[in-house]
Amino acid sequence: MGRGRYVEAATYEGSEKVSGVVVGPEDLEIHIVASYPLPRPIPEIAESIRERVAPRAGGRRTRVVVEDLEVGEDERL
Amino acid sequence: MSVFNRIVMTLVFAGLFVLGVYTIVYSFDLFGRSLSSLPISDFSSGLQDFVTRVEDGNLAAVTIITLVLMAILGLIWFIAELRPSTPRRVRMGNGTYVTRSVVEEEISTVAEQVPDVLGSSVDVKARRSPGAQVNLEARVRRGEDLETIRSGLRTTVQEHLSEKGLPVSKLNVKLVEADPRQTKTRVQ
Repeated sequence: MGRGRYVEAATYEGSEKVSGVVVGPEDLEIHIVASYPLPRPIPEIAESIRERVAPRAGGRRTRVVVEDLEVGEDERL
Repeated sequence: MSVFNRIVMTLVFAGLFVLGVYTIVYSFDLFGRSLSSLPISDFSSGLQDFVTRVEDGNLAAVTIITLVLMAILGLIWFIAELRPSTPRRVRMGNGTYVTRSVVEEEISTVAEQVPDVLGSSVDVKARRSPGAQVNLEARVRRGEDLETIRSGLRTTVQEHLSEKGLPVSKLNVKLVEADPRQTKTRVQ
């Protein structure tokens, strides 16, 4: 999960913090970090996450934000 | 624009607050101060004179120009305020976004893998419609065939972005001839 670049992307509930998910009254934002090698193009990955999460978002407008692309250890060589 | 507006509105409200305090103090004769003691007779007579000249159409050319400029400035400010702000993230599809830094890093990485490119700088602007506007500046050696490099660089970047699915609506490629001793890479 992504943690936000300038403002922390997280939701606080009680004493618990969930990083990478920002739940608002009408919006839901999911911040992700995709990792190489990518199995599919980035929009397809983001869309599949959105499709899975949207039905459970309680009617909130769901947005998926790709925050970073991570290079795996073997990719660095 | 919003930051500028906030500063202006903060100053306006601060000024109104101070004026309000003075008005209350002087209106209710508090702390030994009263409206009749205010030295505003010169100001009020000057204002009255100005309004009279406006009504008579008897204004100096400099005053007319100043008023017209103020009106134009106000109109420009109003139009700028109506324009929606530029989005921070690049829209890919319905409800899916990618940060500008991701697009920048991808383009920079692939551009610097192209032979003849010694270094690059990328500026990505998000738009309200899907796709980003990309300004790519690549540094090459002096005396190279710029058109061939530009065409190859453009094709390589477009193919790579297409493969990754990163949408670009406009790609501007600018080549700058540079001294290899001052670039990120000396030899490709």
